[in-house]
Amino acid sequence: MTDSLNQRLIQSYTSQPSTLPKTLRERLPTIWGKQDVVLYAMADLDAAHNLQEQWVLLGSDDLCLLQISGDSEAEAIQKIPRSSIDKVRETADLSGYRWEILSKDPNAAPLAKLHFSRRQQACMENIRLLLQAENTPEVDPELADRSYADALSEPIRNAQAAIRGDQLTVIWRLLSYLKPYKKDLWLGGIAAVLLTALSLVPPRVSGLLIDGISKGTSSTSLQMYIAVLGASYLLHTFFVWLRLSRMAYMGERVAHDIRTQVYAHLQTLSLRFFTRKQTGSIISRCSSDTDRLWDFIAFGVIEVALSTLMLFGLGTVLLLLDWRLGLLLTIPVPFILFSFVMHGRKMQHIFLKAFRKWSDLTSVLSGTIPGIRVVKAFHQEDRETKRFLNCNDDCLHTFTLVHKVWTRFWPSLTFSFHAITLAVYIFALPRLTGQSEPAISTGTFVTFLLYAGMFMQPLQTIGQMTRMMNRAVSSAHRIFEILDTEPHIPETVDQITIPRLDGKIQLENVRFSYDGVRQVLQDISLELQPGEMVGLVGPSGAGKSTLIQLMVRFYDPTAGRILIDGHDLRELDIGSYRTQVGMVLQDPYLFHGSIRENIAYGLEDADPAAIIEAARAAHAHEFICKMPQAYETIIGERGQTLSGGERQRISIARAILHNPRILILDEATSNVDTETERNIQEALDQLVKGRTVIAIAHRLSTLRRANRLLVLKDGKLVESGTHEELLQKEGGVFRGLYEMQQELHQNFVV
Amino acid sequence: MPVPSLLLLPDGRLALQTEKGPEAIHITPCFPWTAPLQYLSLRNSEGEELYFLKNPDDLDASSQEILKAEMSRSTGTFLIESIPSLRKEIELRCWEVITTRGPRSFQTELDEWPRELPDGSFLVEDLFGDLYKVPALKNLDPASQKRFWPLVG
Repeated sequence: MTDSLNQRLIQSYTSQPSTLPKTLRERLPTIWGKQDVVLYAMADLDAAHNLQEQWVLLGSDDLCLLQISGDSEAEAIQKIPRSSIDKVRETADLSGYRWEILSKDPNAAPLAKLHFSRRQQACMENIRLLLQAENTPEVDPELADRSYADALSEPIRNAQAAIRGDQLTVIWRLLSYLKPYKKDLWLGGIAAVLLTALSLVPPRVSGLLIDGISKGTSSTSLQMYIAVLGASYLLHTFFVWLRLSRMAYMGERVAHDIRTQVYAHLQTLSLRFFTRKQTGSIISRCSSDTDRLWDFIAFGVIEVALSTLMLFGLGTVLLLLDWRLGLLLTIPVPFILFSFVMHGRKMQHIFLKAFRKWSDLTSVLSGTIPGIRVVKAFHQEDRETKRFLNCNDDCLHTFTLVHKVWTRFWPSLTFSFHAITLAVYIFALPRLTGQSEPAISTGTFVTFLLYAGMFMQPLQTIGQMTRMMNRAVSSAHRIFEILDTEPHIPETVDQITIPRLDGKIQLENVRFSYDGVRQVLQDISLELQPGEMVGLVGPSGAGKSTLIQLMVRFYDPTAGRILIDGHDLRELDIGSYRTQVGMVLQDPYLFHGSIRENIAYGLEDADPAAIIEAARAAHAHEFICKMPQAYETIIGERGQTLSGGERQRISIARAILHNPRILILDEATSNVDTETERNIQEALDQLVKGRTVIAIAHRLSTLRRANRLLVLKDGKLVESGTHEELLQKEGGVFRGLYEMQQELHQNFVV
Repeated sequence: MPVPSLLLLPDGRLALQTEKGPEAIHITPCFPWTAPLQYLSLRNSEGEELYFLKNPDDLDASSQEILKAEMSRSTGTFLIESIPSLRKEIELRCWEVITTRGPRSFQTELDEWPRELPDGSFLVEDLFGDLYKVPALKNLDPASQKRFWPLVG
């Protein structure tokens, strides 16, 4: 993420400085000498919780608090030597934080008290971490601006499409996808222009025909008019077909290209992207957003261009035909366009409410239908029906309002057109009957009326142009955001490929935070020998699963490093490494497809005999053979047609077939009954042989086979040793957990 | 367990008088919107609940005063007085508001709707987790009402 983008986001959205004010920076040497600013943040609330601008600057020797007055001059400067600071005491309020900077002298009052909103928390937390770090890490002062801007803009970046640009830029980029289809574009465009021009022919010919009849023109001439009329209809039909087919095919191909590009790019993105974006949002970008672009490219662009062309064409023809009557029709056009725009805005306002009501209704549905068993178990059918009824009534009221507005607008608009037509009649009648000059023929008048009837459609299209453009640009933004997102885990230039890992794993002072604030792992150092089986234990939220996610490089540590066979994991070719790592998770994910495909996922050429062998080792062969089509049986979405134990054994078979050098078992037996657990445990015994294994299990007894147990608590490695050694440890975390489980088990047995 | 008393430590922190002496605490209201001054969980710096205070009326007069001051300090949110601008951008709803603490601009996700509170006001949570209370629709000026109307009711 570029610094300039972050700074722009801060400027656009937070109305707070995107960097330390220049005037303040210039005054720093007089305040604290030659110290660099290592980190800075803003405490935006005062003690009474009014908004203020107080800068918190961390230097190599001092912490400095600078209050900014209205004219950006610093006042109320407080300098606190870092050597005098013991720690920061943070209190989280409902909507903000309080900090007390505590002195090393336990009897002294806090050195300073700060208040700030949640918006500032990430920046402030960076300062707190550095202030309290036992060994102050080296921080490049040049990164202070980046750190501030990055922390402050992250929630906005995560929520919004990361790319920014005006509508024109986005539409231009979107249209660049048309390049491969120039021929279709030209054919479709020319057909569209020609059919617009052709649509002006029938009214004129009809007028000439009527005049011809009334003036007694020869039947040959009249037949010629009819022939021209017929030919124009035929050509019109042909060009409509040519335009629709070319543009529809082209739009579909463009949408296909974008979908492919988006999906392929999604595969390269890190888990961090998928964590911060909702699954539904990502899916809709690949589906409904591309569909919306198809609609815009295939029809929207041309429709708007043609409508504008048609409006100008009609206006010119009408004025040329009879400028007096022409003015009657063309003068109201700007007013009608304005009324369209105003109506569009009003509808958008009401639609927002209607959309919200609709989403309330669907959320009742999506909450209760999957949870219908709970509803029935608690006998809440009437309550749920009433809840739905209320939402449904709300929807009815809001949509009634929607209908009230548009059903008034359109008849009013139609009436305006009728009024204009009436005015045309009133002005034209004396000229038609010869009572007024200049005279007008019946044919010309009919032509005029037919043209007037064609005015409505282009006006309507142009009136809706803003809405259509906004929708398309919004979809394009959402799609381009994915395409412009860099893989978060960068690949180094010279990557190392190890064809066969030994399986030695070392962690050196590894720290990790998902949000940059809460430290999920803190200074973890450990070493696993090739072929060793290590159990990771600890209470929920201790950081066990995060630790293994770092080991497979779903994320990179925020500090420290992980070494595999002596190489920094960041230097290893990620693809080659992951093919040698196997994972068996608590809730194994199976894809829609056959059991065979699921076991051989990623190994398309796997020998059928090897698949069966893996299934046997996983104690899955027996139940697979009892399925209607054995290994070719299609299992439903996520393997819902199988039991939890069956799904787990298929995932173990998958891991066995891949023959990984490093195996990760994350609560592989926690969701199954005792009998199934025994089966899975036997399968796992087969699987762990000859590999480095890291196993997480809540049932501590299942880790008896582990060579060593590592105990995590609050993100720290607190104990390490064999099962027996840890049980001997008086007051130990592991012993506490074990005794608790034993007690629970005994109570259960009783 | 008898109802304990609250006190302020010399450094200004709220504390609970326990058998071992005063222990610094913070208060977690279990129902911050529907019963903000009842069902209070008093927790120490380790996050352990030291006492569950169902009703502050059970406290002595001095403790009640201390609790009241602490609650007003810790449960404050931005109170919106008017909404000069509320516009939609890609994926974001951008608010420019005047609060009792001063003018502020913030953003919410498009599907983040204001939550109606029992007193008829509304609660909005921005992208950073800051909370904003918006008065009931009828208590806003007409222009703010018009802007806010689609999002509530």
